[in-house]
Amino acid sequence: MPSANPFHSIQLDAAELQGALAGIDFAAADFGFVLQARRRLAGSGNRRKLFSVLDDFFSKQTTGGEVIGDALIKGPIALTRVSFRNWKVFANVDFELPQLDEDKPVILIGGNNGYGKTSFLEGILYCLFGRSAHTERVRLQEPDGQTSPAQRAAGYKKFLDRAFHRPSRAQGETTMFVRTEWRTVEGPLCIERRWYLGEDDEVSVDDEVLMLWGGEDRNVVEVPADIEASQFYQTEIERCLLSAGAASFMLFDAEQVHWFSERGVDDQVRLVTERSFGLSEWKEAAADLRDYARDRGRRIEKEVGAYDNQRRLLESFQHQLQELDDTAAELEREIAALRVSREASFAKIASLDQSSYETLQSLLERRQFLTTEYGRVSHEFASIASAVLPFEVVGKSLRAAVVQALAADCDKANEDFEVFKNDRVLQTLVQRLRSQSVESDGGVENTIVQLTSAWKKLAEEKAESAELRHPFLTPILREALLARLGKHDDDLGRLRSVSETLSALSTGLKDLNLKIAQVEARNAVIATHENELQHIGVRLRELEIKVSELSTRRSKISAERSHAIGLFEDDFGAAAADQGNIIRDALKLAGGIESAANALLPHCFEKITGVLTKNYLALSHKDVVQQVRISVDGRVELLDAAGNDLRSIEGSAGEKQIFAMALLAAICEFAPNRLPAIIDTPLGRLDPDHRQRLLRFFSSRPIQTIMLSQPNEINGAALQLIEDRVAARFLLEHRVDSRGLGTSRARQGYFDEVAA
Amino acid sequence: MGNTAFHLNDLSRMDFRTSATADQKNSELQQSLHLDYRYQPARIAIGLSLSNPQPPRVPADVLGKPIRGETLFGQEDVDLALWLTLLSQHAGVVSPSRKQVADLVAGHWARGVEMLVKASFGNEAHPQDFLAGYATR
Repeated sequence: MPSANPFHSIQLDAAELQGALAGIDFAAADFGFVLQARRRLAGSGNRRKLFSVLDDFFSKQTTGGEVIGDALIKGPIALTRVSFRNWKVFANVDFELPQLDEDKPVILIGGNNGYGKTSFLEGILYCLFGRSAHTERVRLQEPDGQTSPAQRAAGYKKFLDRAFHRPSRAQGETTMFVRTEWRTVEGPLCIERRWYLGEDDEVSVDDEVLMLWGGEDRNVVEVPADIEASQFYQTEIERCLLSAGAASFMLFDAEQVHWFSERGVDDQVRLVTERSFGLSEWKEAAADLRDYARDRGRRIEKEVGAYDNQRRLLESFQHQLQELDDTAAELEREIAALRVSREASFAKIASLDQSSYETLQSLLERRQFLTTEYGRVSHEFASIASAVLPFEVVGKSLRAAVVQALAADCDKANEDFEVFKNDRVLQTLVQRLRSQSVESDGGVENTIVQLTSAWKKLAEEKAESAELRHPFLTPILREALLARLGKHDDDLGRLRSVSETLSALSTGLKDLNLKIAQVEARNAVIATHENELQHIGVRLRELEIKVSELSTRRSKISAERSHAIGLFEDDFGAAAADQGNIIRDALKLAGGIESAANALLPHCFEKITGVLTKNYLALSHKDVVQQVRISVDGRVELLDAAGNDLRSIEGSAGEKQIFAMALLAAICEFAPNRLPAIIDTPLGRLDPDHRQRLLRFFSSRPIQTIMLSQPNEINGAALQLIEDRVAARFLLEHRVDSRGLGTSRARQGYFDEVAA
Repeated sequence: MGNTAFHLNDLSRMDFRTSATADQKNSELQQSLHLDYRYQPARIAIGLSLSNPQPPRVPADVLGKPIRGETLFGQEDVDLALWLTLLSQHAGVVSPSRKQVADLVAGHWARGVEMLVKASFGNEAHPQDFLAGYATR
């Protein structure tokens, strides 16, 4: 279903809007839907209906659909005919107004108090905007918003009841309408709003009918499929003419100007800007959405942002949990990678650290033993070598010579002839021979002589041949030396044996050192892996502690979140999840609307500033103010030529009114379609100079200007001042019947002509 | 000392020296042949010198460090006797005097050191094999 374009009430072109709203999350289609729903339902005074529609909308049972994107009408617009039936003092009155002549833009309607000037003004306003017009007027008079929607709704019905022309009602009339006909650049546009009396003889606001005809043939304006006619027509009025907010300023009377001028200029500017640009309606829609969210959330607290805060808190918890989960996942990934590395290092160590390997300790102990043994055998070898080798290296010939000499010496020593040098032995022997012989045997003495001779010879002979080769040796030593030399080969065998042992030990030590080197190399590799394992272990412990901390934090946040969800459900209903989405969406849309309105406001200020300055300079007779400046936050400065702000200088009531008039008049001018200005008793409290300035100002603009005047207001000199700019004149006449009920009529002419 | 008769006890108690140069080389041989004491290369050197039938020249000096006889030749009578017998046999003397013995020892020690240095050259890596080689020839 198409929606009204919420931008129609904004008097900015598309490019300006696009620039101002760049970067703002603003669902225009959704806003259009809400805006139309408000206009349709909020005016009834029962926001339950609006909230119900919003329920369907936010639960996606209905959609915003596309926004009707027709462009605003530009160029001058003129009111060409106004018809009243049973409207206030007008039973049946038609005003035929001339086409806009920029040289004669003024239409004068004269009338005494009570003759229908305000009825004329209000008729046009209510024709265009009906309930919205009433709401805007009430709001304008009570900008603080003390009147509730229900009161405003009741006030509208009451107003209409009073507006129904009493004589006609008394005559049984049941229909009241106001029809306005306009000339736009797109052609004629006829707008009629009708109200009917119900069976209770009161106006039935629900039966209000709005009709639009367009074109030269006055055909009923075609309503697009799937869109409500009144909604579409209302949008068309905004598109072709102006918004309800702007209308409440553009069709103004003196009373309005007076009380409006009593407000501060900042307030005036903000009020005019927000209302005429439609931003106030945006803000009210946002406020409705917040009320809706609060209502649906059954908020206990009155703070509008509490729901947002709680949602933000929940989202913050969720965000924190997500962050913790992400961090934990990252840590787990690192832990998993470290565990793989750890397993790889373990496997590597296991592959190196085989059980067949002797431990380094046993190898070192064995080397220690072998080294000691080698040292011992080495000493033994040195000792044996030094004892045996010299006798080997002397050579066989010397050894043989020694052996031979020793043997000879032995032989010589064994021949013991020393006895022959002993004479007592000889004498004993001689005596023994004589004693054994017989006296007759004379031969014994001969034998004794021979024996003695041989004895003496032997004693002499052996004394000469007793020289030994090595006489310093005793017989025992000679025997020992021979024995020693005889076992020389055995000594060599012993030396060879020790040498072999030594060689075996040396080889064993070499092998052992090689093995130790291998084991040490293996141990170095193992140590590297163990070092890695140690680092991995430390890192793993750190990570596991972090994971544990994260888990603890997660539990804590999870518990806090559960608690917050409980509170949230308590505050915002059991179906918090669904409701939460609805509320969130409503608040998001409200936030978007507010952001958009706040973003647009400075542009609107900028838009209004130039026109306001021009108007104010034209209307004010004090020439000190050279420029009106409006800051982005809406503060108004009245600057003199030197740039000084003259705000502090308190102006007179008339001057205040002039500022208000300049501001209100500006609305017509910055609007692209240059709408007519309809001013009821404009000169009110102004001094003559200001009156002249104001008349000159309004009559000089190329904008249709309808002035509703009392006899003593635009007359005489004042009338002469603008007379050549006046295109048409009407005079309201009033007649009271016998029952005291009055009826006004309009005819061509004016006070002066009557007087003439 | 003179030419007085020599006794084995004298050999045991005498201090034997060779030239300072030979003594220095003797110490180097002790190191290179991985021997524990100075007397060990000295004994082998004297033995090697005795393999040369020519008598050794007495060194110009005998300023090397002394080695006592019982150390150089052994404490046992049979060791002392064998050495004295070999020296006497090689020198062709029957009853050498103390002076003769001292000179013979100094000469053989010095000549034998030179021989041992020459023979051991190139065998520094395996000194024990080198020494054991004498036992297998």
